[in-house]
Amino acid sequence: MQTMHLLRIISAVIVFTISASALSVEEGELAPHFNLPSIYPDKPSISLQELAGKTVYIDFWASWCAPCLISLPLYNDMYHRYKDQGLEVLAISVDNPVEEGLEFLEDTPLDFLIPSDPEGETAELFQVIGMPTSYLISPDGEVKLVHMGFRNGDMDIIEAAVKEVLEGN
Amino acid sequence: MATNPSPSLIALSATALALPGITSADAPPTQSTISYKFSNYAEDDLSRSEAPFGDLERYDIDVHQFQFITPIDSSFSLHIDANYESLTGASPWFTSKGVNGDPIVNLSGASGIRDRRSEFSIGTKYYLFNGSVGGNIGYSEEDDYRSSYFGLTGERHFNNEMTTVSLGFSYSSDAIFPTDAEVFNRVISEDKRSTSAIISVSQIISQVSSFQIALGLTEQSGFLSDPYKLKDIRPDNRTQIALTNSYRHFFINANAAWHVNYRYYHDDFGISSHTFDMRWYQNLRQSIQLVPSVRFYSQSAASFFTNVDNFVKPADEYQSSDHRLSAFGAFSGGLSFVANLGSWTATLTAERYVSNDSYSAYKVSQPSTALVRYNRISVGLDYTF
Amino acid sequence: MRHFQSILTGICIISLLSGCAQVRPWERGYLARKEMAWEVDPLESLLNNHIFFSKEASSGGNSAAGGGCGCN
Repeated sequence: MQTMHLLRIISAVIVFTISASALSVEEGELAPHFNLPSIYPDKPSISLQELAGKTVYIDFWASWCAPCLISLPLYNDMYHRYKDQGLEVLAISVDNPVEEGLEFLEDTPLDFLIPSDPEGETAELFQVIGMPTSYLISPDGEVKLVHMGFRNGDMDIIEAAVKEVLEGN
Repeated sequence: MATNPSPSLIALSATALALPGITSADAPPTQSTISYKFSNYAEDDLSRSEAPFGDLERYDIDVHQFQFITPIDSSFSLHIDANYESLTGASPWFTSKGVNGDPIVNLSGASGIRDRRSEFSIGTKYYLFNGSVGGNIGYSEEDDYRSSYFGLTGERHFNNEMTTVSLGFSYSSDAIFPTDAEVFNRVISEDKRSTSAIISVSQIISQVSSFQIALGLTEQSGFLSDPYKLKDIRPDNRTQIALTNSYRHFFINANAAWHVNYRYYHDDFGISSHTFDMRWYQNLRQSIQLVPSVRFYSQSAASFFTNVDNFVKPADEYQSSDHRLSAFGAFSGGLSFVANLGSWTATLTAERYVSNDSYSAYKVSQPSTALVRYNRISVGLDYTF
Repeated sequence: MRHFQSILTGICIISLLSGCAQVRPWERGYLARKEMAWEVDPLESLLNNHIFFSKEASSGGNSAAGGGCGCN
C-alpha cells in the first residue's frame, strides 16, 4: 500500500519534468521553410521560399484568441506603412474549422497574405509556445525577433524591430 | 487605427480572465467590461400548520450587482464590484412545541424586518510571464452589520500552461450590532474574524476538457451565534474545510459545454455536506445560448442543533434551533437564456429551490420545520468596449 | 489522514494526466470558448454563493472570507 503510494508520487514527478516545453525556433536561427494554402480558397498558396529577399513578419493567430484579434488591424496599418520598403506580412491562421477564421476576416479586412494551417503543422515546425507568437525574418532568412503574446505597447517594440531590419538592407 | 472592434473580439472579452489554459503567456483582458444584474429572491410563505401564530411571510430581497473590469497599461487589470440589496420580511425568531408535539416556528415581530446592505470592493492583478498575483479589499455594511476584508491571490502555470496552481488567502473582520438590542435583551455589539486559505490545481485534459480540484480552509472566531434568536448559543470558534472538484467538457457535435461540480464540506460544528451541481450551456443558432442547471445539496445537523428551543438549559451549553444548522437536503433547478448582441450581452435567469429534511442523505433525528423554498429571477446586462 | 490521502491521489492523478496528451497552444480553440470558463457568469456565481451562504450552513472553506452579512 505504501509502495503504491510512493510509486504514484515518483511517476508524477517524472512525468512533470519530462513534459517540459520543447525548444522553439529562436532568434539567430534560420526560419524553417513551409508552403501553406491561403485561407481564401480562390487565392494561390503561400511559400516562405518564394519571399526570399523580402523582410517577412510571420504571425500565428486564431479567431478565438483575443490578443490576436487586437493585433491584426494594427499589423495591417504597419504593412501599409512599410510594404514599399520590402515588408511582407504573413498572418498564419490556425483556425480549425477554417470557416471560423474566414468569419472574422469578413468583418475585419486585412490586406496582407493569410495562410491557413488548420492542422497546426507549420505551428509545430516553429514550435509555437503561446498564442499569438510572431517571428520577424530578415531577407536572408534569419529570425531576428520572436515575440510572444500581444499586450498594450507591444506594437512599438515590433515596429522598432521591423524598421531596424528594413534599414539594415 | 481600428474603428469598430469586430464581434469576434467582443465575444472573447473579459472572461479570458477565468478561462482554463488560454495561452499567450498571461495577459490582462483585452477589453473593458461593465456588468449589471438585478435579481429578486422571494421565499415561499410558511403554512399555518408550520406557524400557527403570527407572520407567515418570509423574505423578499431585491439585489443590484455592478462589476467593472478593465486592463491597465500592459500588465495590470483592475476590477471594481458594488452591490446593493434591500430586504423585507420576517425570519424565525424561536421554535416551540405545537399542540400535537411537533415543532412550530414563530417568525420575528408583526412588522417584520426591513434591511439594506451595500458592498464595495476593488482589486487588481499583475500579469507576469507565467502567472499572476493579485489583491483586493472590500467593505460591506448593513443596518446591523459591518465587514472589512482583504485578499491576496497568486497563480502559476506549468507544463506548457497545461497545469495551473493557484493560492488564495483572505481575512475579514466583522462587527454586529443588532437592532432593538435593548428592547429585546440582545447583545449590544460583538465582533467576529475570519481567515481563509485556498489552494487549487487546474489541469487541461484534452482539447475539449479540463479539471480542477480545490481545497479550502476557513477559521472563524468571535461571536458566531444568531443574536435575533431567542435562545441561540454557539461556540466561539469554527474550523471549516471544503474540497471542490470541477470538470468542464465541450461537446463539438452538440455545440454545447457541460459543467459538473462536486463539493464535500466538513466543520467542527459537526456539519458535513455534499453539493453536486451541473450546468449545460447549449449554443443555439447565432449568439443565443440556453443554460439549464440543477443542484443537489445535502447536509447533516450541527451537534448542538435542537428543533425545539430549550429555555431550561444553562446559558453556557451550546444550542440552536436555526433551521440552517439542521439536517436537510435541497434541490434546485434553473434556466438561463443568454443573448449576444454586438457589444451587449443580455441574460435572463429563473430558479426554483426547495429544501426538506427528507432530501438529506444524512440521518435526520430532528427535522426543522422552518426550511426554505424560494424562487429567484435575475436579469443581467454586459457591455464590452 | 484519509482525506489527505485522497487529496494526494487526486493531485497525482492530475500530474499523471499531464503527461498523457499535450494540448498544443494552437489546439486550444474549444477551451477558449466563453462557456468553458470555470465561472462563466461571475455575478451569478457571487449571487448564488451569497444566497447559499445565508440559507445553508456549509459555505466557506472554498472561497474568500469576507463581505459577510448578518443574514438571518
